Amino acid sequence: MNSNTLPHIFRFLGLFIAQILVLQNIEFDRGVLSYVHPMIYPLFIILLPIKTPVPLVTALGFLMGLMIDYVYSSFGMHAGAAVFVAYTRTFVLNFMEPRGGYNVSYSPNAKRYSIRWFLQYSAIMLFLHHVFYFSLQFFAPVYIVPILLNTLGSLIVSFLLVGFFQIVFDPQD
Amino acid sequence: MRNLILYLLRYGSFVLFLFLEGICIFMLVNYNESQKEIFLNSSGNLNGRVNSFTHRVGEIYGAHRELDSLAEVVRDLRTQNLYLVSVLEENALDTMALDTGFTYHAARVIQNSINRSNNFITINRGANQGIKPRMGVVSDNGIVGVIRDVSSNFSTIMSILHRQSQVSCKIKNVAFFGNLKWQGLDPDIVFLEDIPKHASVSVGDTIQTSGYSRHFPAGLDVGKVKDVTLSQGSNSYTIEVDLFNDMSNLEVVYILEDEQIEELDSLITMIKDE
Repeated sequence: MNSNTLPHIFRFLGLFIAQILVLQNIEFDRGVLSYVHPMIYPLFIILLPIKTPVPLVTALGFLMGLMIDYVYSSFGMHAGAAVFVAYTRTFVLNFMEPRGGYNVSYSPNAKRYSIRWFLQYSAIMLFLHHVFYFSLQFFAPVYIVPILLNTLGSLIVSFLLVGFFQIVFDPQD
Repeated sequence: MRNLILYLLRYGSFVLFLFLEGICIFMLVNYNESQKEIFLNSSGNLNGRVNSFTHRVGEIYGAHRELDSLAEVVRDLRTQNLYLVSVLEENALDTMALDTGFTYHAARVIQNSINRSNNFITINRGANQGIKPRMGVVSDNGIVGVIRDVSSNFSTIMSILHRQSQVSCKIKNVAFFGNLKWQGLDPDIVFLEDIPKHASVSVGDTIQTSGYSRHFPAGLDVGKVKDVTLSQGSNSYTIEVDLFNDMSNLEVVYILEDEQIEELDSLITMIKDE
């Protein structure tokens, strides 16, 4: 365990705690806000170093999702979404590859590339995560409208939280 | 094994992804009520569909077997039916033939030929069933030939498609008679010879047996006049006759027994003896 690994472990725990202590309580009964279920923990997967082996990323996503599920009592939903987004991260990164290419030793963060690039990348990852999560939650194609509404509502807030996280912590490699 | 390892190295992350997602889905449908319900309902639907499909496959398979056994039953019934029809027709012809002095025996053709110059037909009735040589043989549509040889259970018929076959025939409603002969070419065409040239014959006239042959009763339809020729210096027509019979397609034939033939024979012998 070297100094590069430590920030990721802290981020893992910090995002987990933030999710279960703060964001879990954001639940509204009615109105537009009832579609808002923000999720910040995918940011841990988003910020893993690019060279992290895909199986490890997938396994870490599974672990994170499982822990969240344990607290939420929603076995399989967060884990499934996290595993999905962890596995597809490689493809998103391929798709998003900047002109200069990646320095695979470091995290795909705003400092290394650009704030604009990072926000686009995070938005795609969050979208994938949310749409998969709500698909698992509703679990039937007839609920396509609530799936999309929940995805949209939650995505906006989650995205704002990622931006907030970026501004406050400015995550390093 | 080596290939499997290579495959896992190459696609290991995908396999792991599928594996973990599988665990997630498993947990999802086992520990969450609404997902469980949806899963059970849809899988119930699927089960139902699969069940009804397999049921239908089983039905079709069973139906095929049933068809096979039904086909056997049908075959047996057909055989019986054919036999009964032949019995019925035999009886019907019996009554019809009462006034002609002929009785009929039904028989099935077991061997036939049409493409030689001398054709014979074999049937499955013989001396044990009362068949004797020189009896006439007819079918539903016309005349077939004359019994030639008889064994205990089989007989051979000298077909009318035989060069030496001669049947006395006449034109319907006209008394002129001649001999029906085959010239060895077309199995549908025979020739009626010795009709005198003062007789009026036209194409389409029906040719019947005259009754003079003693093998056949008078008035059995044989064929239709197809062509009439009068060769130069001849006193008689050569009439081309289109047979009503399809000699290539004989199944059941009827053998004519002339009840009065012995009486007639003895009478004719008296003439010869003089």
